[in-house]
Amino acid sequence: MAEPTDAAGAPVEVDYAALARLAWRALVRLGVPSDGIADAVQDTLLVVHRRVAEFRGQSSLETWVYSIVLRVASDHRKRTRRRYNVIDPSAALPEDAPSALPTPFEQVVERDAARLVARLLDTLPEPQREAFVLVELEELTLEAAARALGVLTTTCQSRLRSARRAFASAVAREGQQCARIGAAQ
Amino acid sequence: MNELDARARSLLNAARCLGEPSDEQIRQVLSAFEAEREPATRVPGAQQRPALTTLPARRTATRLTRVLLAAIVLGSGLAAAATWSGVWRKTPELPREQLEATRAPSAALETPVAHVNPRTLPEQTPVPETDFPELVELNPKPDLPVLTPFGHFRPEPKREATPGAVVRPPLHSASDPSSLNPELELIVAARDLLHTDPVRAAALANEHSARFPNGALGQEASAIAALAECQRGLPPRRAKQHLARWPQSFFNLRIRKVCTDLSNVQIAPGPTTDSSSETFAPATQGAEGSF
Repeated sequence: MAEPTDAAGAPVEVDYAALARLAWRALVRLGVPSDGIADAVQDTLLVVHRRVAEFRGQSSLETWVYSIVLRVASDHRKRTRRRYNVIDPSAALPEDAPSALPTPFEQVVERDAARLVARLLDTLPEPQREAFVLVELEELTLEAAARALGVLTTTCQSRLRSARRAFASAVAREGQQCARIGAAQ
Repeated sequence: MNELDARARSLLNAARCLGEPSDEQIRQVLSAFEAEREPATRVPGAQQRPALTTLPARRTATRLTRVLLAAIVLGSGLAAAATWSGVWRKTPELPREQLEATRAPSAALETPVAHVNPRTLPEQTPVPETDFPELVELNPKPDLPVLTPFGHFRPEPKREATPGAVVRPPLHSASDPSSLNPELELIVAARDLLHTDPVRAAALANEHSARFPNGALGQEASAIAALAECQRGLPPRRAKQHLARWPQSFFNLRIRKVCTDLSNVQIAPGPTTDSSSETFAPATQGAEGSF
């Protein structure tokens, strides 16, 4: 099998453990059901393994992997949409999920925030969600996200703008609902 | 274009752990992945333990099996289609008038002019082998006839030489594959012109004699020249030469029919033309050769 190379022709070493972590995280954020995450990650790694020789460094390896993750996520969502009416956001948060926050209180806050974000992401249309996840959560640049999505940068920008607007509106509604609950208590 | 307000931004910052897997989950996935990779391409030092999650492996294997079965079915279908296409193309496509002529050869033999006008043939129509049975024959005494789907005789393309039989030399040698084509093309052109332009047909036959004095199709060229001569109403000089040189020629009966002045010329007797069995009779020497 030919070795993957970057744009300069230098061989690229593939760290499958890092790619597995990247794929797992992105797949959860893209809405793949929790019981299908392992399958989806494994599918992603197999695709990467099978096609890594075709990688010629037109983009970064991560961007290339994200494009595969997007396709795998789309396939898994379509496959499991018939079986799952509601995606449980809590299932995407394992009990021993690593946390950058030191205190237990902050960990609880983080978990709650993650659950809330997962629930709000489910309200976004799929194209908007993909752009939003890649840029806002995976922290890709707009150009890299457009390459991973296989669309023009302007298209990605348009989707991202719509997604941000929808997400902010959803956050505002959540805040109003919490305020009403607090006032009622 | 930052449409996110501070609250939404802080929420996103607080939810950075969304989807982060545990180390154990990554280990399980990598183990299953390693188990599915080809052994030769495994990363040295990678964990080789069996897959903890058997479902993905089983599902992937099932998927591979499905792909393999689909490829086999598709390949079989293509092979069958190619075979059927090849058989279909090998079937000679004869024009309607020739089909009728081959089914009723007696009526065709009654007509001095050949029953097939080659100029009416489509360009892509292959030359029927019945017109030149000797071109494909290595044995002058062919075996049993072959019944084609159209009911006419066609000699077998390959036949073992019988002991004692006079075997014609091969029409062309493997070392010189192009030696036959000009000769054959010349004869075919002359034959095509025989009934429409006998002068030109005779010229082509003479050209053949000049270019290929020892050609494999000399008998055919001589017959074409003789028939052209008689069709033009000239004295049958070439016909007599042909009968004298090839007394057992396949074309003698045709020449006798066309060249009526040859009634006093003695040639070897040929088969009767009113025999109904001649439709599928083997193309023995003495049978009527048609152009």
